[in-house]
Amino acid sequence: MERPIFKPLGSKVEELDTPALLVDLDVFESNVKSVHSFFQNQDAKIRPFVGVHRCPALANIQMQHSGHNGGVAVGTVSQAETFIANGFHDTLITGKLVTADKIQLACSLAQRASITVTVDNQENLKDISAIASSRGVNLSVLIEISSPNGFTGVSDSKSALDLAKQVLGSEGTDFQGLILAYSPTMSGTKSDEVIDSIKPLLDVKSLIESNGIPVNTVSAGSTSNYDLIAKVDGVNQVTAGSYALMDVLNSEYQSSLKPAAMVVGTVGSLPRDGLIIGDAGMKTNGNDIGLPRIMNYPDAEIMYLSAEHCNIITTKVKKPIVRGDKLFFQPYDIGVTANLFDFIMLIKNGKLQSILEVTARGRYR
Amino acid sequence: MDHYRPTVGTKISELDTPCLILDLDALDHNFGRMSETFKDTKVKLREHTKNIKSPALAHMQIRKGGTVGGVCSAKVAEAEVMVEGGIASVLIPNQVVTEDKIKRLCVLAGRADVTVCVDSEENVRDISRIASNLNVKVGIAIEVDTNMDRAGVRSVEQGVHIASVANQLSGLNFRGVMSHSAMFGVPKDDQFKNDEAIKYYKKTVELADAIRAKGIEFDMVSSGETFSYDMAPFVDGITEVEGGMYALMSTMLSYMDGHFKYAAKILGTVVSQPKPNVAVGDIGYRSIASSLNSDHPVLEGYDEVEFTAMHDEACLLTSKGEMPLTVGDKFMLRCPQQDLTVNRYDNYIAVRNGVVEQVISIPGRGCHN
Repeated sequence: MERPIFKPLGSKVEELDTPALLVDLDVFESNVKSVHSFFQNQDAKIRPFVGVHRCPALANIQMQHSGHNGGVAVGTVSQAETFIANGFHDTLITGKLVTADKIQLACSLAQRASITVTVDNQENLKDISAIASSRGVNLSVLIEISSPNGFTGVSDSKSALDLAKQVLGSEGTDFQGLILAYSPTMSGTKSDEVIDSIKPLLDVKSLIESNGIPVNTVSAGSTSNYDLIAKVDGVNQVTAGSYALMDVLNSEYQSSLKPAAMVVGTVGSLPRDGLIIGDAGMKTNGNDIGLPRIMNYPDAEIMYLSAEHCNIITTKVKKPIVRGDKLFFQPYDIGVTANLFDFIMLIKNGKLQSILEVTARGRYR
Repeated sequence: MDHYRPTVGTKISELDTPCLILDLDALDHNFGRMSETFKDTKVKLREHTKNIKSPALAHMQIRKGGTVGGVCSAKVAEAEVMVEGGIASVLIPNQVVTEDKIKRLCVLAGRADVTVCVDSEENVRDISRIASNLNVKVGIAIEVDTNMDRAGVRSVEQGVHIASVANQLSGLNFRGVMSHSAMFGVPKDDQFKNDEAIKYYKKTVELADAIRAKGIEFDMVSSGETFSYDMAPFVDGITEVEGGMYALMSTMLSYMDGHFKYAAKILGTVVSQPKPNVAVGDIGYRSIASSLNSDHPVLEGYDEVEFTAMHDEACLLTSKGEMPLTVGDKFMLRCPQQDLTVNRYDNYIAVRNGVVEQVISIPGRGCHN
């Protein structure tokens, strides 16, 4: 577990032990207000994907701002366990539950919370139905429809209709609607491509409804495209997550949302002219799919990250840097970075306001 | 935090996933290989715990033999975990520069044999001042840069100067010299790998010899990596090797798989089969770490199936022919850079002969402070 030196509340950010994950409360709330107030004026509502930051305390702040549909979304059943234990009642689990262990856990959670699962094949649905009915609970089911860059989901309308009928005919399951398979944010995606990507989802909705089956939920979208997807007639739920903290990846699409999460590191070595070495490397920034951005030295350039170090070229930086100076990084993918920390240092006006636990960190199951 | 601790005797096929598997036979092999290499040489192993993050595993290597009886740990927090776990000697091959962290280092030095690396006079003076105030002695080693353009002195003169300062100040024990090296990419052959290894060792010894020529005595010349471990006994003056990756192995060091076996793997489950030749697994880049430009994880045991892509919480496996895996089946991935992945888990599920033998905590997880 992470072992920071816990500084007194009120300490300045520059005095914090590093590397640390900071969240600026004002920026966080401003992002949440901006996105949630957008949804207040839409038919579609946001279901915050809290599996991005894995922190119930932050999720509670999100849920205090209306515009959502009362529930949250997570990636795994063990994350759902954490959030339900922290008082979240209505939880969508987007990852597939195919083993008996996971289905059993979802059924245990369903005894005290409203659980929605996603399904893309008949055998899996049979297993879920058998376990749920034997446990005497009902799980809500969204049929997952394939997306252009997604991995999972049903790719033809007829199979989706068959699955919907199977859900209706099964014990222990309630047909809730449809969800577009997760599709990673791809740099350079255009608005018309976003709209095109959800046409198959809307086609399936029409087909199922034309068979007399009501489709209550149609879920799609993410931070990069929430404003486009929410306006598409027929979509009534958007499961965005990164919008609250923001990262380099999503900044390309949502420039009005500001970075609320930062990794802070310390300069430990200045071994030669134009090079500094910091204490925040891959184990704290995470560069699985992209490099972080140095916020306080925009002219500095990351040479490379190793596990525990960052090598930074400073030849273009005008202000002098000394040993002990702080480096503030905007994570490339906040979902990766938040999962590396057990604690979030919550900051207000440049000072430590409180320390939050990343309670669902490491909950991949 | 994850609290998954399956019962002893649980079959691998029955484990919940994704989870971090520790293959105990492979681990024993790797620890045995190091022990055999160093047990009768002047050079000894100082295992790097940035990879294993567990004092229990560090003790296994120390008990096997061939070591200095201690470890090196990337950060002060990781060193604390090792000392609390009963390790008596820790080298921190890194700089500790802030006042509060130096205090924390000094407190640890009051409980164990602790050495930290420096590359500036100012840092040495800070450590001396704080250690003297706290009435402890902190070991000091000079870090020398070999080939990484990272921390470390860039000249022998600079190293000798800092050593002279450290040798005279109170609160310090001058211990010697440390270097880190990297093999970027895959070496073209063993000859090249070994020549590079010896070049970096010699650069480290060059500074050590120059410091000794000033009449300063010390006992530590610490260097080496998994890729260079077996060359250390051929270089006079090296006292210890800091291998870390060898214990659990990574596919980025696949050129060393004649020496060491893959002991840490991520177990996954197939969750969807959208096409006959495609399977989707539940392991994504949050549960198996990758880094930019690194290769994908490698699937074990299915030659015809390739790991083709990864999302944050899912991966795509593609078969050249019929997909042998179906929904619910388990599969095992080798990690591209294993220490990044271990750092994302709270427990090793340690297995032998296909069943769980024990669950080993990873108290060093997240100890990056």
